[in-house]
Amino acid sequence: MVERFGYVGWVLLLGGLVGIYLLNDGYYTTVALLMMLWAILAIGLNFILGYAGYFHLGLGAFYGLGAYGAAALGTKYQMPMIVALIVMPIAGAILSAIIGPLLLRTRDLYFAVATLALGMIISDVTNNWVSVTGGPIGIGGIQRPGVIGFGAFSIDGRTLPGMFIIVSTIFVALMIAAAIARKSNFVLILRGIKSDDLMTRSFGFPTTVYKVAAFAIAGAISALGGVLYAHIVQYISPEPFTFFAASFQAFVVLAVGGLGSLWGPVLGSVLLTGLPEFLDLDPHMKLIIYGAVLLIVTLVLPKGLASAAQVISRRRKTAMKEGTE
Amino acid sequence: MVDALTLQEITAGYQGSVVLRSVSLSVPVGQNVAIVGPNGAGKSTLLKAISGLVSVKEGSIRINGNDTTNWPPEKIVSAGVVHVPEGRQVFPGLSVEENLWLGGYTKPSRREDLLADVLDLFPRLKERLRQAADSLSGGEQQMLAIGRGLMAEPQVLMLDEPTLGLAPVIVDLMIDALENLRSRKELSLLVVEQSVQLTRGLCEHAYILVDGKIAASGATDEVINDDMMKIYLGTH
Repeated sequence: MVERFGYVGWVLLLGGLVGIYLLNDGYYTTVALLMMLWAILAIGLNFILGYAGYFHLGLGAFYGLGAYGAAALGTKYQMPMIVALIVMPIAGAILSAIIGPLLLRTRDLYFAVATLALGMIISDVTNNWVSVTGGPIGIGGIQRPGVIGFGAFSIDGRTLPGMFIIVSTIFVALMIAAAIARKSNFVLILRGIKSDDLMTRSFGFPTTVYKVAAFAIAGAISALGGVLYAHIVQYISPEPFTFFAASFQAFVVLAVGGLGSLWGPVLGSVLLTGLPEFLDLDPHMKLIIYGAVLLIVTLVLPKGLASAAQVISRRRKTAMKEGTE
Repeated sequence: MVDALTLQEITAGYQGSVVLRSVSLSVPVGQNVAIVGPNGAGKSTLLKAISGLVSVKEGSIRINGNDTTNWPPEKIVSAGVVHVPEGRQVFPGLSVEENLWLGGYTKPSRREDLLADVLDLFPRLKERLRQAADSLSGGEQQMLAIGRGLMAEPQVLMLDEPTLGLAPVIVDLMIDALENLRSRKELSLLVVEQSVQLTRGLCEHAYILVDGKIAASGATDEVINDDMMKIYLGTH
């Protein structure tokens, strides 16, 4: 059942992306871009939280690093987007690799608090280091890439559909990488760490190295998300990278979608980003319904949306058994 | 011939308290050694000190003649000593196959062979490869824990109370499997065990550990017959 959903998942994902491109509607394209951004953050978080079991609540710091880095590279040094796409994830990974060994000395709630503090520091910096970050006013005028490719195969990165193709390509590539990683020994060892760190160590795995690697991957992917954000919105300010706007939301997306699953980040972001957009009600009603849906999902599917197929097939089996008896 | 594992006057313990006092012990290549003793004697701590999970304050540990005192656990595994901890510790949430796979860290190229070997020894695990480890019965979990230890192709396999809390039928199965291992010339077992039946059938040598010190040692039959009752009754 899960295997079959995997196949259906890829078809739905690619079909959905092509469909939205062909629809060529500015509103739907923007919503789809937002969904992909949240899914990217959740994919990154999945490595450290979903697989290794460490509550990383400072994702916004790396998301912000990517976005501010991209803005600086673009507006101050006139670099094309591709430079930021390469440099900022590496910067995110390096920063993680430096602070990771320190933060990962802590566990559970302590790690959550430590990473929470990391996010706060970045929020403070983006708000107050006015000469570099522009303070609360932020940085505007981030240039999207121009025309890429030749003739009929060229896309115009300056337009929304062009940007959509760029982001979709990166997103699908990231999903494929995540699918491959999920089957790898690396992720198996991370799951071992989540299950029992000391025992994993006793089998000869230097678990700290693996944890730092997972932390660095989360940092790199979040920074990648930040770079894309900066080029989609073309304007950045401190607000979208704060705890509630970024780190917490990424956690909710992943938790609702399904920790440690491949499709969880996608399903979570489709529901959580899509739902408020399509609920065309007054703001208060919207929040109430949004909250109610979250509550129902977490109660009915504690392992996330990605486990829905499993839960349904199990229910059907039990129902069939009861029927025959 | 150099012993597979030698402990020389080990003093070890946790922060602020000494558990083991000047413990010496040796495990000859291909022979099995039992450690028996009352609760709280420091048997589990001894295994932890060997596998690097508890730091050694004085004395030295040698694996094949190489000093491995206070090496990190992962290097001890590579050196050939694998610890199967007490209480059927398997990774909950991971399948049987994934559990075994994690055990084969030091020998990635031999994983397939080692896996086939372990499934040969414990055929029950073969039927449950894809099942979650925490859904197995207690005996099966213990088999899995031992099998996972064997995946590292150790020279010394340390078992901490392998029959603790198992049904008598399962204990027999476990003894059969472990005696099967005995025929392997290159493998030594270091077993902490309360079951006299198991230690007698399995181990050539026995050490009695009381209050962190070796109270008696020698051939299993002699040690367990003569000395053990006295020690347990406190007339030693």
